[in-house]
Amino acid sequence: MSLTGNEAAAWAVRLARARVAYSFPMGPNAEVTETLQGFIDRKEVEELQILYGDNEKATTSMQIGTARLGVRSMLCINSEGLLWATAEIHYAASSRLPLLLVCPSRALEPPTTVYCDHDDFMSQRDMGWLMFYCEDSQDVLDTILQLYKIIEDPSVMLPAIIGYDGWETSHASVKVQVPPQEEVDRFLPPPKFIRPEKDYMSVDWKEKSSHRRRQHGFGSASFMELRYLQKKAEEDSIQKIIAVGKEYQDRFGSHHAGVLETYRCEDADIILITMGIVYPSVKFVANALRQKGIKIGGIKLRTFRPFPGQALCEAIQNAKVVITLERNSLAALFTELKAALYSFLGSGSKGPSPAVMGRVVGIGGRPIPLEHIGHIAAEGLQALQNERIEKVLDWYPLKPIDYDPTRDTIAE
Amino acid sequence: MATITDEVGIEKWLKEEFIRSQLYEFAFFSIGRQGGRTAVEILARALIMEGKNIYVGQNLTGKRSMGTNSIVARFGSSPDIPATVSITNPRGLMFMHEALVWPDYGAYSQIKRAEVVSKFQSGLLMVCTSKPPEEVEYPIDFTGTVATADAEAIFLEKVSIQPPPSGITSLGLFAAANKDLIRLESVKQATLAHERLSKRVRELNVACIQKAYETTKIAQNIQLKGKITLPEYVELANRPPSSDLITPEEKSVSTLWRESLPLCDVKKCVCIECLADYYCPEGVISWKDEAYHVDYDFCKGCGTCALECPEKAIAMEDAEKVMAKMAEAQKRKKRR
Repeated sequence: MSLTGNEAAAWAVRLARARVAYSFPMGPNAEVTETLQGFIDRKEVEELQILYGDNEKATTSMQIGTARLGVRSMLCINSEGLLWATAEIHYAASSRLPLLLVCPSRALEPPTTVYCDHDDFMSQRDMGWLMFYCEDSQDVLDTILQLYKIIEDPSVMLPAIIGYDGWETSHASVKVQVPPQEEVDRFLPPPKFIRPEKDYMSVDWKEKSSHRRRQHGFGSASFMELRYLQKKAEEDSIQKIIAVGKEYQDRFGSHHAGVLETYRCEDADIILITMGIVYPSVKFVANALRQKGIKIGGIKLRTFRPFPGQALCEAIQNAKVVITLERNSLAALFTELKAALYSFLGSGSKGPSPAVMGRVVGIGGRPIPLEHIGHIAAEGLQALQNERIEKVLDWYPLKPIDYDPTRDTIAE
Repeated sequence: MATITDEVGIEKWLKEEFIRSQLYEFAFFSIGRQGGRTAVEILARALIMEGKNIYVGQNLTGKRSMGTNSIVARFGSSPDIPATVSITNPRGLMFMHEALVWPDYGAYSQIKRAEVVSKFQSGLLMVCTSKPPEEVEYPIDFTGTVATADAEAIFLEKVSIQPPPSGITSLGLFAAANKDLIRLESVKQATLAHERLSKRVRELNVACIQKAYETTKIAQNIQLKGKITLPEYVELANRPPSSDLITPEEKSVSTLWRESLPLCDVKKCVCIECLADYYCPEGVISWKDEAYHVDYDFCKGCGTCALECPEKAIAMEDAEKVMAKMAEAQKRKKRR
């Protein structure tokens, strides 16, 4: 069937048998819960409730409460909503609870826009959540199903954000293979991630209402240890991500698994690294340039947190120029890649390190045509030929405007 | 700061890759309530039925909820379809309403219809119109294949709704003009399977698609003389709107805003408190000191006042007529 990104997310939540879906509607995320409501109205799902909070912070708090009961849930917020909920987002990670946040990315205002860039997603990179970015509806469906299995694992027990481009993926129809419910049930058993020491429902009222009576409590005396264990779990979750991805791939045949995907990188001189919807365009441009004898490849980073430095550096180690195509104003991929390369090279790998260039594209919803990817690849080619990088980090494309912050206001 | 350079090599190479990988790109433009998006969704499913992969990207264009819709559909047999809303190499453009070849005054949107038109002077031009291909109105010079079908009339023959949701009907035109890419049978089957529509509506649309397919007129290798030059068109497209209010000149064809405006026959007024004043959602009616007044600058023509007045004193008349009347009255007042 053909599904938009939002519909695919709703289908994944349905197949995962989540019991509650939270949302604060903000374009382009409304269709996720709309589609779920359609399933409920037509009685195609049992035991699914949709709840809306007064604002994103309230909604996230509600989801944290739900997770404490061991219930599988989904939260759908985006753009400023993520900023609004940031305190709760941090709280969820430090509480070691598996929550899923579906984020159809939308740029942060001002200036006013409804269109997409990844700033809302990237703004949460320090919160301690696992972070994944998807390229199309099939990827969204596959990743959500894998994520529930990953985050509910006792060795992980961390919340996860799954992002995809607002409108360009969330409202774009592509062909999607929806796995049958029985197959998904075999892959994803019911949640069992809260296993209290004793049965807290059958105790007397004093114990039930006491806030101290909950599971074996760890408090501020163990603050540093708990924070360390949290960060360690985040780092080590890479093993689980790869293992669950492999299992999903074997069972359902989808290639949307693991921490990254490479395309024609084996003998590539230039590699374009990207996240999200730019990837299919990168593959197309790579094909076009390969026809002309230019050795170019592409990498899609699926997992942003934990940053798969090892896997990424191994994939690019033989390239001469690596260009990150970022759809966020932080140039996050550029910064993190350089940090990862530094550790990778320090560990004694052979050969010169690839030169790293960063190109920020598509901010505020500016579409990314194939030509621009071609131009950026041409810049990489030029750097290769001249053995010099003209501009290490740049934004593309920019047109000249006459803006004076003391005189002009930023509005629409 | 990097500037946009025009690398002829890249553009040419990408066009060659389109041909080599048998990738096809089409842009569809519809007005609000026509069902343009649904039509492209159905086309996508028909293509998937035939084993193709497809990306459908859309935009609602126009900042003042003018309802127009721009959609890109890109498909082929390769599993990797570039997923961008940028329309760079369309094989054809489909205008589900003939007025959409002209720009309207939308603010920032990702798919810029006027830009797409300005770059499209050859290829396959599909327009839903009663005119034959040779008489199609295109703003700039065009050489190529022109295909037309009167989708609106075909739909109105079956059901009378204004504006007619003729988006799905236009798929008959698409199938007739692209016989090498899609079979009519697939389009009909996809329509019959579209769960969002009732059974009756699906069958109605299939009949319309059939009629459109049969009555499509195609003229190959013809030249259309543009109404204006390309630089004039670009200038027209880049002109900002004159104000924040929607003026008649700048109204999009799909806007049903201010089609008619209220006129009150004050001889019929008997109410202590004007109910129309009370119910007006914009608060533009006032009835003070025996004087009835409508602020036409802010009236949106919704007709609630005419509906609510218990004496049926208010009638909705054609907006042009009412504004002309008001202008006359103003002039007479000034002369006194």
